[in-house]
Amino acid sequence: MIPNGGVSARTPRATVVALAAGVLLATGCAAMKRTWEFQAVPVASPQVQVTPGRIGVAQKSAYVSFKVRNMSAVPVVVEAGTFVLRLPDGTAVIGKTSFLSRGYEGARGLLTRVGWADAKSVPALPPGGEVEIALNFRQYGRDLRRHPTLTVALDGLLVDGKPAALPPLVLTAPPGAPMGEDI
Amino acid sequence: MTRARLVGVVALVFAGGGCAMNVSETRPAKVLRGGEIQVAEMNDIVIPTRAVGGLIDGARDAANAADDRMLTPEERRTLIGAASAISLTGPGYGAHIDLAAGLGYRFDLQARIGNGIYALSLRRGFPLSEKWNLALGARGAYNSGATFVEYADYVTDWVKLSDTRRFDGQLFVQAGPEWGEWARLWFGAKGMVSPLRTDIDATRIGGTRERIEATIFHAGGFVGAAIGYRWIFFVVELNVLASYGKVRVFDEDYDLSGYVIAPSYGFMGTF
Repeated sequence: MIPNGGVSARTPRATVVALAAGVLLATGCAAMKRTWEFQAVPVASPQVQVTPGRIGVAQKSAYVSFKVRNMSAVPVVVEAGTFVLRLPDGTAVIGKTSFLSRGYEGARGLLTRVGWADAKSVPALPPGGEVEIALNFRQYGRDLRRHPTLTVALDGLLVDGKPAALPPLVLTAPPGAPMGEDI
Repeated sequence: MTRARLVGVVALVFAGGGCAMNVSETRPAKVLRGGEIQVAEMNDIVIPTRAVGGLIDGARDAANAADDRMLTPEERRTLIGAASAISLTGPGYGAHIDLAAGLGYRFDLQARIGNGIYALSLRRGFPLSEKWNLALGARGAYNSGATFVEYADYVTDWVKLSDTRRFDGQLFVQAGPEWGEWARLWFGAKGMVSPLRTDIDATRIGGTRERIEATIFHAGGFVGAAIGYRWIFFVVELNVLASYGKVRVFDEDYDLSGYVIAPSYGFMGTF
């Protein structure tokens, strides 16, 4: 008869030690995971639908990609403005598109202003067409991984020059992710 | 001739002979978050005031005299004392590499290797605000006395110290602010206990061989700063510690107490 929590004389000590080490390692490994893949559900308006793609949340940065589909019967112009990610306590983090895209757009804009290049028109998205937008939110001082939810406001998504009337994307941490900034 | 030899020994000790003691911290007070990795290459200069004084004041005359005649007991004591001080708390220059990982739960673990030093330290962080952090830590180290620079164990031509083995146990506390992703400042206090063992051979000056064991205590503070951007930082730090200890060699007590001034510098990457 073995009391609750006891170890049988037949139980190899090595097994118990390995089990304990495994539990400790598993706990540690979860806390040491550098990037958590968050999830989000699609959101839609009469004009467009936003379907989340990869959402990787690391300590100091969050990568959020999503596809924008034209749900209307007419072509629409979709542009990426300024996106804001919010922590549960309201802390705001500004998102940026890729460095190369921003550099290209900035250079193009400069050339347009000095008259060396024509203004670039954004091609319209045909009905049913999709465009992918990828953003990187970077901040210092907080651990973005340790929040059960993060939200990305989509009013930075411009449809025909106006903010899309869409609810925010709610990024949800995967089950098992250690929560709390003291971790 | 003897003077030239002594100067050569001193130069060698300063150039890389003495093992740099494992006293530097050279990292910010904010512990690494889970999964964060830190790699650093640090260079340490150790200037123990007592050993330098003992070397210059005492050993020079005795070493000169040893070339021409048998030393008096007093001269022998002086030379042995200076040699012991150089070996056990001697000046040195060394380099080490730190590898650290955030374990989560505000713990980080750091491994240190270099110049015969092998050390492991564990810290627990306590965020005081978004800018200020506090950390408490402990470090265990083994110092083989070896260096990357090949040199003889003869501290002088007359007294040979070899097979030095030292363990360091440290407790430290550090705190400091950080400014965004470009600057960090930290300061703190530490205490270190170092049981050590070494073999001393004074047969060339009419003595004998003996294995000596002693414990040296260090206590003091440090201040450091890092400047860089996001991943890479240049780090400087200054440790000032008081040392306390005695060693008994050939039935004589030698005082190893004094002050250790240890500036460090290097590069640190956090990923």
